[in-house]
Amino acid sequence: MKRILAHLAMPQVTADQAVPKLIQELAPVPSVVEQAPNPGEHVSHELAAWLDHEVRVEFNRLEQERITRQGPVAGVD
Amino acid sequence: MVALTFRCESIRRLHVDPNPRVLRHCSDIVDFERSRAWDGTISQNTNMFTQLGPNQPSRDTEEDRLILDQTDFLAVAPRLLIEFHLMAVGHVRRRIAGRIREFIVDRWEFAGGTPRGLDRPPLLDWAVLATAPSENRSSVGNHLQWLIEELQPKRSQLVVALLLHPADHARLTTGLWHDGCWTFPQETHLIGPGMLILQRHSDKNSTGVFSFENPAPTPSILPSAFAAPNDLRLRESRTAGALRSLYNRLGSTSGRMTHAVVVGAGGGGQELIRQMIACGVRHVTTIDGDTIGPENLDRMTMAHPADIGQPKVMQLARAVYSQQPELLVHAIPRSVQHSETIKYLHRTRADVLFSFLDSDVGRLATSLLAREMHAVHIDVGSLIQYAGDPGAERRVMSADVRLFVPGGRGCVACVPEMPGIETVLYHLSSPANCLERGQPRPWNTNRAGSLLHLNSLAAGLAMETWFAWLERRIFSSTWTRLRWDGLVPQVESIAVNKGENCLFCHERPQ
Repeated sequence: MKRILAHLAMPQVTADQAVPKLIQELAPVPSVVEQAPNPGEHVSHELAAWLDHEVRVEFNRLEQERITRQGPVAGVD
Repeated sequence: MVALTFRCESIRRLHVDPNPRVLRHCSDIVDFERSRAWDGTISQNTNMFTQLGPNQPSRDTEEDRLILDQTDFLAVAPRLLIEFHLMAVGHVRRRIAGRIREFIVDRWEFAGGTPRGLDRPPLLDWAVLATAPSENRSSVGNHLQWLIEELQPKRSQLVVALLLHPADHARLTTGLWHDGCWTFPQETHLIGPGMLILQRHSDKNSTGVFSFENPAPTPSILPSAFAAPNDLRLRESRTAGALRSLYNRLGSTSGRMTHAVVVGAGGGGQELIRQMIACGVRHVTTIDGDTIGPENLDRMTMAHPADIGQPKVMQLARAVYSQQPELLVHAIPRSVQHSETIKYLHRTRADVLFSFLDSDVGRLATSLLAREMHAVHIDVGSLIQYAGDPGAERRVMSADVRLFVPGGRGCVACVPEMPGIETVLYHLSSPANCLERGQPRPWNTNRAGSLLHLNSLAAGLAMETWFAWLERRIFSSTWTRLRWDGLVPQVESIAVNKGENCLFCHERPQ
């Protein structure tokens, strides 16, 4: 409430400017954990899409290899 | 062959032992930078190089960049994400590009068990790719510290550490461990189809984990366009509409601009640069040691008769800069095999190298420089000949566009096998400005002539091949051939790979 009053008391801020400022001020502050920079980390959804695809291909290949190693299933007509 | 070895070794030596002071001699390289008022004259600008002299910034202000061979990376990463206990070891090559230290990582191999630094030479640079342990997920430092404790590297070794996250494939953690300290690369490039570039923000006010992918969702929100006058937005509207997200990638003024090097500024090279800038590329280096002659004017439509005798690159830079002031263009009036050009390119990171030349020597030199830089090389050539019986001859036009993926996956020497490679290597290794061996040959020994519309077509094919590479529509080295001896041109394109006995593809740079 103090912040709202402070903004309303600022003569140099017009009403158009005050509203977005107030919204910004009143927005929830991110937690400390969210703000902590992780300098060595990248997040890329494009990389994730590539890796997802390659992991599926690799998984299928490994499964195929495993099945081939097992040989034919005995006792099936 | 002795002379060849000398030149090739000299290229390597320059790379291994870079001396920033040598760039002070590059006084002939001219930069046309955006935001500088263009007064119609060419000024010698060496400012960008003087920062590399003895008073260069301290280590703290330098940056690191990781260059990952995408094909090699994707060959091991999926298995690591399935079998968490595995690790892979990669080969690391250092390179200095301006004030940025580059670490080029390729040739990953699965390690049998945990690789140990104690078993390796003391001054080795090596890379390790592993999956992060599931605990302590919130702390990157803990993950990397865990990895380094597992590896037990010697203090004198440099370890490039990369961690994948099994539960979240979008996350990639990178770090450089050296002398007991961690540093974190500003950028990580995955050189391959799609050319993914992961960047970190240096903005201290920003929060959280940062990730920036090259394609932006919409083309019309170039950040510069907000601040730019309406006519700039109107100017780029048609091109941005045609290329969509690719437009932002090529010439983003907010982040990293795509840097294209074009070797050859003749009729073909000028056309290529013209098309490139028209598509939104805003950072170009043009290289050619030749001057404009009367025979060039018909195909160099941006040149005037008064330009005869001027270096081609100077005239080209002046013309394109005056047409597009947003441009950053470097003009190097030297041949690509000239030592100053080589020194300049050794300290540059280019996203692509084009060559549009009539000389196999220049083609091969460009190919070797792309190989050293680990950048994609696109070679373009056109040819006009006459075929058929005398009196009933017909004009046969052809053009070749060859895209070579770095990492020993094809080059101009082996796709197809370069004729007279011994002679080419002799000229490549000969001193600068030396006389050519053998009888002088007239210009039309191997070709009937040259036409601008054929060069335009070849340049357009080259641009589209590059775009296909950037948009992940092609995945390997590609050879596109255009043949035009009737009404309609025939175009065919095939995927290619390195030649069996290629001198260069079977040996990767050390």
